[in-house]
Amino acid sequence: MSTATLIPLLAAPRRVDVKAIDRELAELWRAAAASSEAERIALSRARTLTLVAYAPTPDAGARLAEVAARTCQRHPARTIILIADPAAADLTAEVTAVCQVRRRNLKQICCEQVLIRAAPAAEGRIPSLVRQVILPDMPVVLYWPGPPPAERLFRDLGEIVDRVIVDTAAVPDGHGALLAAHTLAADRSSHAALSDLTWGRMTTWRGLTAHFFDPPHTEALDRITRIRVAHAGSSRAQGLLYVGWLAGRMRWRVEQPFIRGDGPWRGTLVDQRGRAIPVSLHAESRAPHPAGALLSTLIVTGSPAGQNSGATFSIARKDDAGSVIAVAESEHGQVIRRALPLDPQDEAPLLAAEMDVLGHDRVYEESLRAVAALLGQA
Amino acid sequence: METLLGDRLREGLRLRRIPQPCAVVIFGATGDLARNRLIPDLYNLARKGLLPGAFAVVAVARRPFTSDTFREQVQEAVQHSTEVPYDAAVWENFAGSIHYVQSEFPDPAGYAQLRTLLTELDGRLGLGGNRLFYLATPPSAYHTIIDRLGEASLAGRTRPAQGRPAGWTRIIIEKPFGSDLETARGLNAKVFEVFDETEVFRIDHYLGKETVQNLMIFRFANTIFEPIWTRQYVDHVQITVAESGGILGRGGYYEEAGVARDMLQNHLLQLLTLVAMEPPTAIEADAVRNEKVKILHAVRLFTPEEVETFVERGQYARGIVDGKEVPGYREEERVAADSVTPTYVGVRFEIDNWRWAGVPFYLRSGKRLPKRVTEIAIQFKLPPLILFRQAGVEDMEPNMLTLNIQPDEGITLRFAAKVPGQATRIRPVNMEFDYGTSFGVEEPTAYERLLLDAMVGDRTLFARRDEVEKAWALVMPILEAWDAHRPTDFPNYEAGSWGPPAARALIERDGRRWRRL
Repeated sequence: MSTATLIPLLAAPRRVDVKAIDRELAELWRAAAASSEAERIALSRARTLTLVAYAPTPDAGARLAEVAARTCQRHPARTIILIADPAAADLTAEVTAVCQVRRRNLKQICCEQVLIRAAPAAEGRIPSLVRQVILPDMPVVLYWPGPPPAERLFRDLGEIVDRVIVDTAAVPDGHGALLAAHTLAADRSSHAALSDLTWGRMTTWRGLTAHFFDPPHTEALDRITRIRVAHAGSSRAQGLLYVGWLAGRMRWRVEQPFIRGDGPWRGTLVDQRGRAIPVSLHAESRAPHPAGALLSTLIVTGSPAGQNSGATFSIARKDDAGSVIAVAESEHGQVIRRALPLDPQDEAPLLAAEMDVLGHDRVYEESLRAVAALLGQA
Repeated sequence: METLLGDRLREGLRLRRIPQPCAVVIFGATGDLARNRLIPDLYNLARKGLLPGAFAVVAVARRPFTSDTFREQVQEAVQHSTEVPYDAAVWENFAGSIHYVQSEFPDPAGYAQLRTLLTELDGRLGLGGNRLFYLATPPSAYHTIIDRLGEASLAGRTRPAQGRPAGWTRIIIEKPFGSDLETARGLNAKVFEVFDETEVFRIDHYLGKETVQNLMIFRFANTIFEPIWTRQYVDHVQITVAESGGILGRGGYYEEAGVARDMLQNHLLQLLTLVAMEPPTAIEADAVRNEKVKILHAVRLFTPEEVETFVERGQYARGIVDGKEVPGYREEERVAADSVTPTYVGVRFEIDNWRWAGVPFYLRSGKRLPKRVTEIAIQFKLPPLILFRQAGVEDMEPNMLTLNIQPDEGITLRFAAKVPGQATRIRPVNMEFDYGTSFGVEEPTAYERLLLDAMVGDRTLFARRDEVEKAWALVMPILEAWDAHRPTDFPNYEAGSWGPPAARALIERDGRRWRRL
């Protein structure tokens, strides 16, 4: 996603009556259409879904409004930003629209935004307001930029939406966040699909790992003998989810859940033939990588004949933080080396990528189950 | 299709179509197509993680490069590409997969060298013996290259079954596929000496464009359009492939080809088949291509007399395009001063089948027209009764569905709406679906899509032998009539205009008009 300049349609969001948000939005577009005609600029409103985003503070609200506007480049949407604001007078609403100019045909593509500020006492009424404002019969996505909380508001919003996107790496307690996500995903009473920005951050890593086992290394997948994963800082969400993904996909069971401590976490998986696969998770502090980011993975296999020296498959983040190098070295010394840019790790493109899919992500849910088992919580 | 979708690790990944390890061998690698399109697009596939881990590009051409100097050449093209973002780390890695073989196309030694290199790459990288040959050369070299590939045991049928790694062999052949029906048949026969039809990928890059592919989704995944996609509701169809550019220094080629071979036989007829075909039984290569071929069979063949009536040709004179004065066709490099090569064609086809009987399909294409635009427009019939006549409404614009293919891909539906106010006034309004607006994702280029399809083995978007030959059969009466009657009025349209006056007459005598684009 490019970083096109965002142009607010109004100098400042317009304060409106919460009961008349739809009418005010229509008025906003009427006025904008008249002025764009006068200025001879093609103005397009496009809406393919409703994005509801929750901000726990006014500052977070301002940031989320910007992030949501950027996702509009890929998913034109009506965005509803819910801002918890202790200073708000009950429930207030503002409307605005943010536009981006397409270079090719100088069209302005605009997305409408509704900002709802809620005092703590008014939070319980937010879901009813959201129900009023969402676009009829279009998908609704909730973005909750943190782990799934036990809050009622989260639960109530979850009943309105088709997909919930959380961020389990937003807190230091990544494993706790993943367990909460697992609980939510396993809750069959909710129809909403669950997704996670942490999952999106790993897309390149998963893709490269899958590439490793393309021919001529396909058979090596069944001979994995050791896995080592390193991540930056203390949040282990990405590292855990990577191991959980491998374990889930390969139908490995957990023999020894991770022994958690200050040093590397170590555990043991068992493959379908009953062979043990030691796994270790290492926290390393290496600037400039963001906290929790995967730094490297190493997968070691045994040789076909069963000796110790087999193939190795490694992925390592380059110090520029924007790309990774993947190296596959077979037992015969055949080396395949690839460099790939990492998928964008910023919040807006990650969120936009998670909004591409609206159904349940079975592989993510499977990975969460494996993580729970790795943490001894299955 | 041979993908690795069964791979447990790839399930759930959003990049799903990854080809098997392979080598892409490009003949004519120093030409414009390879340098500015194929290699940048392959690099871009690498950047998106869509190429297999074990991969090689082998460039074959006459010019005296080494692998290193060739890499430098194409690096420059990638860096200057406006469509492909440059990433130094990815380039460095991708460049390592590029190898250069210097050879004259007829020289058997070059093919022996190529075979040795491919065998070495198979062993070193584990390519599994998979090879995709791309003929990005002038068509005059096709026969020779195919012969030599066969002689060097590199073509599909000629590869020994024993003693080599198993693997697939495919060949992509650029248009023009032949210069008439006879040469097309000859080229097919030549190809089949050493390749099977399943190994042959005849490329028409228009079919790689999103809107063209979306045409099938649009027609067959929406219930609201297909029922009205018939002679009962459709008045006529217009297909336009207009270019504002001239012949871009390709005078030698264009003098031989002209617009009918360059555009009508391939791009325009491909678009016609996709608009007009019946629903296939599946979105699979042969099911889709069967339906396309049926349409080509149903298009009415012209008699020589009908060519005079239903086809118009033109050649551009000096004029102004994009605010700049441009030379006439006869003033272009390597063009004869008295050339009668047509640069514009307008045709009125009819399709003799149940769905389309009586619905004219107007096709036009030309160089040095006012703008670069490709679109398919389906004009629907007017309502049987203008109910609003008493309110002073005499004229209504018919509904029009437009599929914009370039420059901006999208779909526009024109319908009538009341202008707000006391009086009954009707105004046509457009409802637009713009790919870039509704899906702000980076679209693959047509060649990216088709290269990947060929590596994966998906032939849906490539032309089959009978399709190519039938398309030539439809164009032959036009070419023969044109050869028999030299035009006396060339040049007959000004650069920057919408073609010769006779082309307007072609449609206007039916009481219709070309869309103003």
